[in-house]
Amino acid sequence: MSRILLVEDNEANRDMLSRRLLRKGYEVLLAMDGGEGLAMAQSQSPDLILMDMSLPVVDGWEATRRLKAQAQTREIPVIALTAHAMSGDRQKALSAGCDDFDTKPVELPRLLTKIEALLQRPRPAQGPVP
Amino acid sequence: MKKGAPARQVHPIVLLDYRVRIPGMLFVALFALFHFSGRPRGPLLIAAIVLTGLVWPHAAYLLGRRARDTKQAELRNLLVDSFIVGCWIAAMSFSLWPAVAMAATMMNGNLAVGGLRFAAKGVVGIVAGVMVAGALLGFHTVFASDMVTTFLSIGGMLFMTCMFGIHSYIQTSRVYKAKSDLASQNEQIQEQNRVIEQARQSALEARDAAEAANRAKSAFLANMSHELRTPLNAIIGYSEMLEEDAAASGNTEFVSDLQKIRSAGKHLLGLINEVLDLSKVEAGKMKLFLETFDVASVVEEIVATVQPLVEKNGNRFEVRCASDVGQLREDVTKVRQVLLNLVSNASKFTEKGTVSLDVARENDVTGTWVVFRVRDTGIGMTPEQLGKLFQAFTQADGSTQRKYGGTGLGLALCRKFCVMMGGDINAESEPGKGSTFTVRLPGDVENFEGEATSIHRTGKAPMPRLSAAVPRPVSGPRMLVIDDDPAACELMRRVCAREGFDVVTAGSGEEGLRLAREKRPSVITLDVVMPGIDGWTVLKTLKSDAELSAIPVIMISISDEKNRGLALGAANYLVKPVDRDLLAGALDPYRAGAGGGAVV
Repeated sequence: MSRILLVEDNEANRDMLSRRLLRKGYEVLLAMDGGEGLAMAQSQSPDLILMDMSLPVVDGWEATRRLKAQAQTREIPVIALTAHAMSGDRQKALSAGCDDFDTKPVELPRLLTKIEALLQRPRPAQGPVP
Repeated sequence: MKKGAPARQVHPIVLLDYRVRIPGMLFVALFALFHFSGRPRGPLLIAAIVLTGLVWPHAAYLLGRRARDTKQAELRNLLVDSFIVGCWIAAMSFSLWPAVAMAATMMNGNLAVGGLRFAAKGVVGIVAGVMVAGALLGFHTVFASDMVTTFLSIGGMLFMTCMFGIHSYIQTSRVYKAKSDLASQNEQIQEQNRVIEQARQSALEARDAAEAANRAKSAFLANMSHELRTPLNAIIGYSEMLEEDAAASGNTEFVSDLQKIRSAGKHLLGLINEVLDLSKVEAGKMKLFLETFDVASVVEEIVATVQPLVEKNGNRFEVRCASDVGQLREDVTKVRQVLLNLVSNASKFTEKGTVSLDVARENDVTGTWVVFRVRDTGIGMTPEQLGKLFQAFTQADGSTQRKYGGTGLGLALCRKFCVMMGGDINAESEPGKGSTFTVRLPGDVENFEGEATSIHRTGKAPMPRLSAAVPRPVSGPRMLVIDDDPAACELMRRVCAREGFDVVTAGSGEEGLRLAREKRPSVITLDVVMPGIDGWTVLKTLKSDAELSAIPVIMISISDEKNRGLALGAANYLVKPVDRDLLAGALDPYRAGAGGGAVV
């Protein structure tokens, strides 16, 4: 069973998305801000991280940069979730080191496809996608 | 006097002297008349007296007026006056009183009109007169004069002096008045200038305020739409969850209601996205992300998305995509958005009709274009409605909004996107018959000259691109473009390749430094704001490396810190969005060959 870390500050969205992921059979870890997300990524080593971008304390871009800068967490795929559905945001997220990108409101089937694609990706040494 | 006066300008001294000359010469004639009383007066003398007193002043006036240069003619007249006076002085045997009266008055007049230098010429005139008359009549000297001539001379001198005095007074007061008029005019002009300056200031303030308000509006719209999306996210998500639950438990009644909540949420989301897009376009923050894509597969994708929508109103959907349509290099998201908008509009306003999408490649003098035509057989539009079609926040009329919904932003956005991508959009329509929307996008993938907002064209209209294929100069001076934005890199590569450079791009400061060492470019353009090593650090590193410090670096940034850039050793500094002409100008010195001593 894959473990997904969901970093999201909005309670309703966190609750909703985590319940939907649980139903789909994932184990879900929750973090409410970028700082907590970083700590949990290190202590829990999840299989994948869903990262909201506009987060308090440490924002999603910075958190991703730090994750990708550490050897221990570098290999964990990160999917950026943002309410800014602009192509510029996609670029911004990818250049911060995110492996993929999806817009909120989440379309679950589409997000699940992306999650599965990243989980199935071979894990061995692969640097951050530029 | 003014009879037959020529319409041209006559110098004022002509008339002034005329008024003085009439009494003056009359006095001269009278002096002579009384001087010679009781002596033999031949016809020649009488003729000379009449000529002097009655004929000459008027003749002088006519000569003065008619001359080409009236002022010079009048000065000549005054010299003739002096000569005449000299003649009479000698003729009257240097009789003191009349001689003094005539000479003094004459000198006075010459000084008043022509100043010292001219008065000296007058003296020469008088002396000449004396000599000529003396030579003809003999130099007799009888200083005394009879009583009548003496009194007449004194009276004449007093009269003429008074006349000069009055003229002088009139002149002085005129000058004074002119001065005060001038002063008050100056004051008026200054006052007007003050008013104009105030108006200019308030116009500037108003402009600044309007710009600030517009920025605030765009920022507000952008923030607001973000804020609106977060709760919407929950609404859509939970309704989807409940829908799944209801479906699982077989509660079909709930399913359809929950579907309504979800589709209303999605509709609202679409509207918010349009508002956000428009505010971004208006704030100049909309960027293009160029990629080369296959037109046919994007069309297929769009058809799959809108098919259900078109068929909802009982419409037939016809799609014709020419086989040779090939590829486009544009922002595919925006192309998709434009076409989705047009097709969904067409199906919204058409019932039990036909909606068609035709895609073809067309060539004309301006180059090759990919043309998308969306036709419908729907309600159509009147010419007035067509006129307002692409303006933001206007729909055909209020009832349209009530019946068909929508923000009225969709087409305004479509046009803005098309223009941004170097193309255009047009509409033709007839009420009751249907509408045709035509989108033209530049189809020249290789010679693409489109724009991202980071580099803009100077002209407004889509630039006609002549299909003259510029061969890529491979042997040109090498140029390194360092920018983390791939679209900006790509655009710079295209623009600078056209300027004759062999362009290498680097997506980060690290890569830039590595390529600078490896490729030894003739010139480097460097973006300031980059993740990782920023532009300032790259510049410092380049300038502190003995092998690289000679390569000229052009900094390109969104913030204007020209002085800092130049102080750190940059050769030039351009502010984004970079004007293409400015860029070409900045690159000019490095075009001819290896600049800055770099090895190519």
